[in-house]
Amino acid sequence: MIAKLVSQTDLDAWVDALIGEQTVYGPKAKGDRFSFDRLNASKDLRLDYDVSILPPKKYFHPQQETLMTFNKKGEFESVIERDPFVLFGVHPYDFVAIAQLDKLFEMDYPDAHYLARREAATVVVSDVQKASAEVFAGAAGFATVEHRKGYDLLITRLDDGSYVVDPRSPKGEKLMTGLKKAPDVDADGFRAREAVWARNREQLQKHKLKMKPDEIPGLLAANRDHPVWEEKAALCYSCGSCNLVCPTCYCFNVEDELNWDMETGRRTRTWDGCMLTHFATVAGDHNFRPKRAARYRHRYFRKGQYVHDMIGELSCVGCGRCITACTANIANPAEIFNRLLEEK
Amino acid sequence: MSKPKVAIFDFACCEGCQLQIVNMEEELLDLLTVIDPVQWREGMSDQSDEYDIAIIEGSITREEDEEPLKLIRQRAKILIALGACATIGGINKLKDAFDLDDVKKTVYGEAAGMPHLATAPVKAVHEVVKVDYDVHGCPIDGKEFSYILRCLLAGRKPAIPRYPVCVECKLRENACCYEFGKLCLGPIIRAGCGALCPSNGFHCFGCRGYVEDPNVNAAKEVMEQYGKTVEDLREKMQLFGTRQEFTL
Amino acid sequence: MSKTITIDPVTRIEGHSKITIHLDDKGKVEEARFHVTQFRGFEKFTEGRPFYEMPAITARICGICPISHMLASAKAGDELLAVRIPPAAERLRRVLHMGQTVQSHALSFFHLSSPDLLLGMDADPVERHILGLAARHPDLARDGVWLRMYGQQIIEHLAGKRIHPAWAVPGGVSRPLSSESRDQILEQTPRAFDIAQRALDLFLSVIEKFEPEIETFANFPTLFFSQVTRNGELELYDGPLRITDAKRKIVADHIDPSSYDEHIGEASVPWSYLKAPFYRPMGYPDGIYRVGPLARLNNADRCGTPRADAALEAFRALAKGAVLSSFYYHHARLIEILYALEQIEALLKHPDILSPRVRAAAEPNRTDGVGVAEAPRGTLIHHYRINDDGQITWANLIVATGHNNLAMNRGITQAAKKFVKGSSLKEGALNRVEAVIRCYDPCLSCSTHALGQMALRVQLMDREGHVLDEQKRV
Repeated sequence: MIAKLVSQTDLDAWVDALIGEQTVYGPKAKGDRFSFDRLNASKDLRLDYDVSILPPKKYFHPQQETLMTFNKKGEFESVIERDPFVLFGVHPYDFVAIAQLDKLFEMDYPDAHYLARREAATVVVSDVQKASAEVFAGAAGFATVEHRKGYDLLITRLDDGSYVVDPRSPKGEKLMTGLKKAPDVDADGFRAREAVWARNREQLQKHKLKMKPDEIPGLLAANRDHPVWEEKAALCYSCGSCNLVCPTCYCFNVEDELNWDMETGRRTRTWDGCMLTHFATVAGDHNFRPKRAARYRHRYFRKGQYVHDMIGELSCVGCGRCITACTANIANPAEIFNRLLEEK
Repeated sequence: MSKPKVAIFDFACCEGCQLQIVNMEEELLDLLTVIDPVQWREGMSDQSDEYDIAIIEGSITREEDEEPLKLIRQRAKILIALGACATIGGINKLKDAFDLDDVKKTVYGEAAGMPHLATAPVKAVHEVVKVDYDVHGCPIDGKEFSYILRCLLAGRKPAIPRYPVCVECKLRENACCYEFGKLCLGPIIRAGCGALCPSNGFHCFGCRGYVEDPNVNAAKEVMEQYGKTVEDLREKMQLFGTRQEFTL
Repeated sequence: MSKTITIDPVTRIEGHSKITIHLDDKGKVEEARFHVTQFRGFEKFTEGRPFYEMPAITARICGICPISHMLASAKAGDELLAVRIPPAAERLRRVLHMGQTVQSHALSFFHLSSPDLLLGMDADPVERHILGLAARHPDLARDGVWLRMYGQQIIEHLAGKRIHPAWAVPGGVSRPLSSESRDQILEQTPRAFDIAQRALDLFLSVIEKFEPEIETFANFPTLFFSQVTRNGELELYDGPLRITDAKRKIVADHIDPSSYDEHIGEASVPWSYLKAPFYRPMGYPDGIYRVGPLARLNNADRCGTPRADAALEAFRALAKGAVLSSFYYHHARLIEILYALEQIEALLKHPDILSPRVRAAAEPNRTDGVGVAEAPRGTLIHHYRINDDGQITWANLIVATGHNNLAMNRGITQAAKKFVKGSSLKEGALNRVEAVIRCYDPCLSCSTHALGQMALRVQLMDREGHVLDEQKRV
């Protein structure tokens, strides 16, 4: 099937039909912000959202999940979720983050829990309609994903209010069955979409990067002892907010809990963050990174160098969530990278 | 294995934390299958009873309450402080910001001089005896209490959060109070409550006490960014943080 | 030689309250006193706090009725703002308050008092508690746990947590109700009605066994004090105050809550941290009055809801004038549960109940504000004064258990005179004295022994404090 041109009314009807058939998650209003949540009706779907409070990675790597149940004899059973669902309206930069997590969770010891959910999902990417206040995905090179693979549908709202719905995989084609009657997108439609992309690449730059993304690993390596780390960390609450809203953070903590029978129990994992005081505390209560500045610096190296070394890509996608979430206003990666360049 | 004996004692408080235990409902029946609640049968007796676990609710506000507490400590293998009044003194400590005679006069007027109306500076349990574990919160969270008790019964050390409320607030996908210009103690207060107050339209009041290393030095500059002062922050912190180590 | 019997503690450790029974030289009961032995000083330490914080602070006075304090405090805050709160906010506050009334009354009746009523006052104390009840009357115990949970869940749906929420605020409430929550509550309400009706029927069927108790459980003439609606119906959230006498004659009516202090004085008694309010025109201690369910039903002309009004008929038939025995607090409580459920149903079906407009924003426009509500246990008064910065400069709180202080003392004296004979202490006699206190359901530790029976230590002492005899309940 080729891409279809769909009116708002038809899009709504299609989404309502999907909701009737399966579990669909998408961006909804939460107060005057947005969050991904289960959709009950197309009227709740807000494809005009600027950014969600938490990234949609939570459907693959949930805030908290049960990994297995066990008993005292040492028997255990993994808990793997395979229920299919549709994740609707993921912004391109968030998809880039998911694609990065795909690689990381597959590496070395493949993570069965993450990969099963990923396999069960149909991912619908939606081009950004409204730039959020702090986004700089355009500067990081992640404003659009037309050349990437790994998602199932791409939806772009054109300036005339109609949508280009473009299948990107057999799963996506299947999802589009309900749009068969819609007209195919013609050359004008594709041109109009190109225009949206070009504008997004330009407009999703509320902060500029004064270097090419690929220069960042080298820039960091040369500046381990830069005064900016101490200076900014002096204001850091070590609250982990920048980690917790980040679409590419994936660290977690594992805990065991016994039931009241004192025989059986479950193992859970919960998101963790390298900015938290005890992130690097190990047995015997020894903390490898007790200093705020060391933790503060670590996050930038993680986003700009360490993960880059593993997957060949900057692992800050420029969503700007950390900038919004940081109470002390010290978490802007673009600002830090630019300063390293300027004060070299 | 015989069931461990568990006793609960309360001092100055509202007893909401004990009610949170009652509120565990079905889970309460599970609890009663594995422990022997001696307190509800016996209270404080003169006999040298021993309990495996003593749970203390409330703050110490009278000098004559210190002796019984010390006795409980002697008889208990494990002593748990239950709820903010016990763990940090709770809002009872607000009283200490005033002259005690003045407090009595405000409440009792001319009768304030009566000898039975004595009152002393407020103490958290750990200021009188050694506390082994804290169950934080005002009131406590029934789930956390249950978890801690199960850990202790299994001989494990419970993992009580050492990170701030912001963590749980983010996990619940709340927009930050500060984004709306509202002061919140989340960044400096210990988590474990599931960020209940910010999730219900309020700021964090600080009932679980400070994290180990609250960034006190950042306060002035950060408050200024939001057009607030250290005074504004202090006012919020006093509610649960009067006379505590990290008070600004 | 005069002796003192101490029922100590009414709670576990002598933390909060105890009862002493004083014998005269002939070994006869002379007086019984109810002591409150803790004091936290809220009226002082709220000084300097911002007024909008008061609902959250004062909720922490009591773990049993934090909701009532939060509401009375928010109402005082509304007065300081000088705003009329949005209609949906008022309805939501009422729903919350009714949820609180149901859960609190359920705790009082099922968990605390029904063991006495069903297993008998002389039953083995080892069994006379909710767990013993669960063994003998599992359906009733289950009903009680469920009804309490129903009320608690209303609180959770609206306010986010059961104890010390911060939901009611000056000007309204901090969060609207979701349609999911409304539907869930409404779905469960029929079962709540069934349970409440069953409990009332059960109470009426056992009541004749308790004639001696009815006769002596604080059965004496007093005034009654409560809110009523403007047309004289039962009212728990907002309305003028009414005072009636033992003949159900109106002594004072249409009292504006803000003028409460013209009608109520407060005395300090030499044995307790709890002050003793009295009706000012009659002076202390003659101005003794009672508040709470019994007072409210004596005061109201009618309930104003059909099921509660039907149940009220049997209550009215108990006496020509006011119902005087505090034993009937239980009866009144069960009627109020029906009333609260009817209110919940009606309020939740109102088309405006899901409105997102639930909070009026304003700066303080007055420096003096009084908030009054009928807590489950009786009239609750919060009175604040603030400075220009909105900080509290003065606060006065009169709680339900305080209003009843004088009546509780007189009640236990009456019961002790009847049931405590000489210097020998029988478990049943002591339990009756304690049960008088429990009728009033005071919001003190003595009403929270929900997991088992009260631990009792009884000492017989002479004037010098030598222990002559000691009995322990284990």
